[in-house]
Amino acid sequence: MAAAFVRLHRLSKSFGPVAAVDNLSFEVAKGEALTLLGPSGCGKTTTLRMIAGLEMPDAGEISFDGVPVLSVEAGINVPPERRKIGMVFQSYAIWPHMTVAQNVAFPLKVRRVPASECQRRVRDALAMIGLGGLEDRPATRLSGGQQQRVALARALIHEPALLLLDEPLSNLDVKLREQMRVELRLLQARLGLSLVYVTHDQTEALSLSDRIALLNQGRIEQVGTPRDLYERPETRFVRDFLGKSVILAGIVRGAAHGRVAVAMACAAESVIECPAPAGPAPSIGAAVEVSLRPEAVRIARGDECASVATLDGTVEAVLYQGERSECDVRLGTERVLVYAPPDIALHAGDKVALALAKDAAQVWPK
Amino acid sequence: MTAADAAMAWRRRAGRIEGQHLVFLMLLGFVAVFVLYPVLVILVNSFVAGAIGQPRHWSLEGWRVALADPGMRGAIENTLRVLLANETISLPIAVLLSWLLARTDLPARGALEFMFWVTFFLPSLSVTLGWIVLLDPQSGLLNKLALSLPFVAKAPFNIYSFWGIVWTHLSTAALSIKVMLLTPIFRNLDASFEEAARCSGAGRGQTLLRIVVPAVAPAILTVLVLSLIRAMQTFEIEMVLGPPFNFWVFGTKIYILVAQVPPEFAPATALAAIGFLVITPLIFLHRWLMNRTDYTSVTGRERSDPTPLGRWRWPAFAAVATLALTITVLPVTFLVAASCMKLFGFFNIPRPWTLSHWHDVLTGDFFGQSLLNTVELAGGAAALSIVLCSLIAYFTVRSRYAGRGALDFLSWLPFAIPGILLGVGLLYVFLGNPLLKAMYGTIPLMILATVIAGMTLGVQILKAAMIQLGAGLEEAARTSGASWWYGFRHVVMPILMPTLVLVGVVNFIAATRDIASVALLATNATKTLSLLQLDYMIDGRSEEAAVVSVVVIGLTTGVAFLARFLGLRVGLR
Amino acid sequence: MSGSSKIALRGVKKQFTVRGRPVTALAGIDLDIRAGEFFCIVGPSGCGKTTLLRILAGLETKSAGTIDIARDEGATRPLNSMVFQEQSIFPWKTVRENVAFGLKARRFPRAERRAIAIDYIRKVGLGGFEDALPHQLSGGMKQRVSIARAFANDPELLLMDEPFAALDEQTKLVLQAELLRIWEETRKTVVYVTHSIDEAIVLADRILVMSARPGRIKDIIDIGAIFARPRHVDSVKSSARYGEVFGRVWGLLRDEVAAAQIAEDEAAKRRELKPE
Repeated sequence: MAAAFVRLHRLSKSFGPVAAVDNLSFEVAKGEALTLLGPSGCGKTTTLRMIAGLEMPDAGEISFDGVPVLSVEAGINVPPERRKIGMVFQSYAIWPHMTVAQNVAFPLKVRRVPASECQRRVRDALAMIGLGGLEDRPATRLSGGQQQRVALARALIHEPALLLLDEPLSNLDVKLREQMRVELRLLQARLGLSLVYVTHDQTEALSLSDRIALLNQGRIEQVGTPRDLYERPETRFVRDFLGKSVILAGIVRGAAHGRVAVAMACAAESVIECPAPAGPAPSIGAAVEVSLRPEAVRIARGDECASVATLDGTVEAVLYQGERSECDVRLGTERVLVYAPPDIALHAGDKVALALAKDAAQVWPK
Repeated sequence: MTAADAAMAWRRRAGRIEGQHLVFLMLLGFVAVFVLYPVLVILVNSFVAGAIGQPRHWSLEGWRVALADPGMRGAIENTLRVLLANETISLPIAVLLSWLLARTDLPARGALEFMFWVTFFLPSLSVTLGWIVLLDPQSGLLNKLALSLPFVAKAPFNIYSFWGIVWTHLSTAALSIKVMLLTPIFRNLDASFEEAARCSGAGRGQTLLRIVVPAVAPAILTVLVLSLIRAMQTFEIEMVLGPPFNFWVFGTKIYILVAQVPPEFAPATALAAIGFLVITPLIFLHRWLMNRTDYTSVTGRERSDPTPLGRWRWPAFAAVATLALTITVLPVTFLVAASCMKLFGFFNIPRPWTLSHWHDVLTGDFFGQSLLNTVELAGGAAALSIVLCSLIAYFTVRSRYAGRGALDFLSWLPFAIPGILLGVGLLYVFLGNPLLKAMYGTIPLMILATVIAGMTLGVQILKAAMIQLGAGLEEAARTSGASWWYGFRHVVMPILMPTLVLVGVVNFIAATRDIASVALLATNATKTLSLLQLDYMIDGRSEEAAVVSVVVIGLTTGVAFLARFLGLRVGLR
Repeated sequence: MSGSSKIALRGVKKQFTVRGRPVTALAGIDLDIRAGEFFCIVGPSGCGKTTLLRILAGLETKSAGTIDIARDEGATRPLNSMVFQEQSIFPWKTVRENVAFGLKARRFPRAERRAIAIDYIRKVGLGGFEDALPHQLSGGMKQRVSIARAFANDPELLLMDEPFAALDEQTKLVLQAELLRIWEETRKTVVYVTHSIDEAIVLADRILVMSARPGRIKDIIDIGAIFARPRHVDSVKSSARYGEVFGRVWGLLRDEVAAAQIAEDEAAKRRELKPE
């Protein structure tokens, strides 16, 4: 694991009685893309702005590459202009009274880079983000996508080691967003940047990040790779925030060797063996929830039913989507979402057997 | 569907519009008669020789005098010199002050901003009197203090001078009005512009100079043009400080021509016409500037913490506080002191303090009546201006009548007319018309004059508020079945209540201290406190003038404080 | 669904001038809306659907064409009431005063006003909130007040401009069901503008799909022939034919949305304002 490049330690900030950020600690490795994800009001933007130096925390420390840039206790506060970061704002903040070239050149001008070198580097930067030739365009005549790229070029031109992005794609339309996601990823990999990215869009977070920190009400719910968070959520919040889940009620029948046997409420004879939850093993007879991602549930074919543990249910509704159908299946008193591949033709009222990928199931004590 | 149904449907729709239509036409008529007509009367009379009531004939005599007479030309030159000095000094200071008040962590910036607001409302005549106490070449206190120093031989300060006039302007409106207009603009600036600059490596100073100032440059230009327009009308300060050294400006020259015996209307109106020619393009320029896209307004995100000033924090506070106190508290304090003195400005006679002047004035013949007149005038002006300005703003912003462009332009005209000429124009209108003649010498005519004088500002404030508030609630009222007039009374006015109160307060205060507009329209019975004050000053009765001054200040600042206390927001936020 | 035409539009055009350039919002609309019909209009941004609605409401004038509205016998009821997307209830009035506003403006006696207002407040499920002020209400509740007010006026036509667009998904579903329930009681003619195909299918008797600017009628789809009334939101959405109808509407709309997108990009390049 690469060394920590950005380190946040016990950061807190309150606005009045509300704690926007509550004792937050995490690290970003060199060259890593970390996303701060969460619903609005969870503190992700405030955290980003504290890393940038635009907000002052009430307590905690931030250090870049081992050197503290902020420490409330020690009274250290390096102002943003000396933190050697690049930042892209949600509104892009392109200066309206300047041309594209002047906007992008600004960080160099401030550092007194000679004019000829400035010109060369601006040209290269614009070419890199695909806006070559637009040097003299006034900033007020740029489309949203173009402004976003100019903001990016401006943030990167002085070659910072850390790039901060505050929901930079939320003002773009869907097509452009998808395109920019890919480009950002490629850019980051090529330049070896450390990236801290803020978004509320989970698709964006899952596709862009090396690791995700999911925040809720100023605290971290879980930090991990996208796959970790999706496949093995540690809290209900993480489970429900990312993707969809199939959730079934059950009663624990036995626990041994890191696995539990759960009798499903929807089919009392069916007992499913799942990995045990973290923490103390649930006691026999305890009520639990078993959750799976919809992809882990499939419609068993007729000949499988003997060899694979299945749950029997009835199809209530089928919503054809083209590449698959979303089926509403009733299991006992519960209804679950199941994806059916296009080659299975289902209708309301059909009886189906659902096969569960047991190892992908998670048990949650109630 | 039958023809009768169709006719009924159409009539219903027409019925909805009719009431509104009628009000619009009446409004247009009112504004045309009382704003446009006086202007036209003045222009026409510049080509006429001979006073009201005497045989008249067409002549270019007035224009010849206005353009050729060295005194006239001198007046115009002086106006430009004062203007130039004022603007070059006050604009950069105002920009810096506004930035400090709106975007940094300057200590007590709320209180300091309020002090500049109060400065704007202080009557300039009263403040001038206060500075005379301090800077009079013979008896001014600061001069006396300076002379008491060993190495000073001659009194260093003379308020009856060009720089005395400029200083008094800076101390009254020149600086404070710019601060009042620029502070909301700085406040509403998108914080992310500055944040992006700082994350790009620029320090505070660089950010201010290279990012913030250029971004607000169009707004600054707008404020500058506005100041230029107002500068052309300056009157009271030069009326007091100018004559002792034979210094005349545009406004005072016109007054003298009209107030002398026999009055010379032709050159006065010709001079006024020249003024129109200069100011009107400026007004168009101002409106064009205001209509360009404003790309500096806030994006709706919460504001970030204010820019820290670091080690400059307390020095900046000291500088700003000193400035604010000097232009506000200093003259007023000494004015109050002077009102309690036996002899105005003489601090070193035995037992200099007395309340006898207060006693004399307050129990004197004119005071009680003047006070009543002032309250009646100001109250009436506040009420009428609320109704008039809201209707004008409404039709200009929301309606689609062809005439609304004309209405909008007419609402700007009063701004171009020096107060003294508005008085002349209205005089012509009322005396020349047998129906209206009866109103001459009454308070309602004076109310009309002050309301018209203050119309432009009131309309602009309300237009801005209406644009910002949007038409949604009013449309909801209309589509719920309310008639236009019902909707206006029960929805539009309630929504605008805070702004309406602001306009009322502004007009109340303006009417209280107004001199130029009402000078020619008042009689002995309808004199206001401000006019009483001017009378005393011209008669050389400075002590009485000081007493009345203090009362006027008390009235205007009292209302300003009350408004602030009731939670009025300052400026066009 | 009755057969007579309640609103007949012929050749209705609307042109704006934006920064000196003429913009055609509506390019000739010919349309018949039947009495008692729930008529939905969908279309891409900028297609003129809101403009059309506002012309019907009397808030805008048309540049050309005729609109004939068949008034009811006696014609004492107001012609139309409109429900807006946001910000249309008066913040200084209580819920009851808001709902009774139109009645008061038309000089209904006090007791009658109160009775009608309370009746509709209960109908939209806000019983108990009569004296609440808008700032105490959630977004969904405010829209209920807006609907109650419009219904309380008892207009011949109900015009609704994306009334649920600013609400979250769950509140939207609940309010759609409620709207249908209240509407079933009186079966007024409703013209309803929306972005959401889902919503249009659930609510409408017929759906008008508009083209991108300049707005024209692309097609009209008869939903009433597929889904019977009274309609329940759940059963419509889980019906087998739902996907097919959705596909049909989206198919018509998709090209228009793409065309509108291209037009917007061009406008951004030329830095024009986008009306609507």
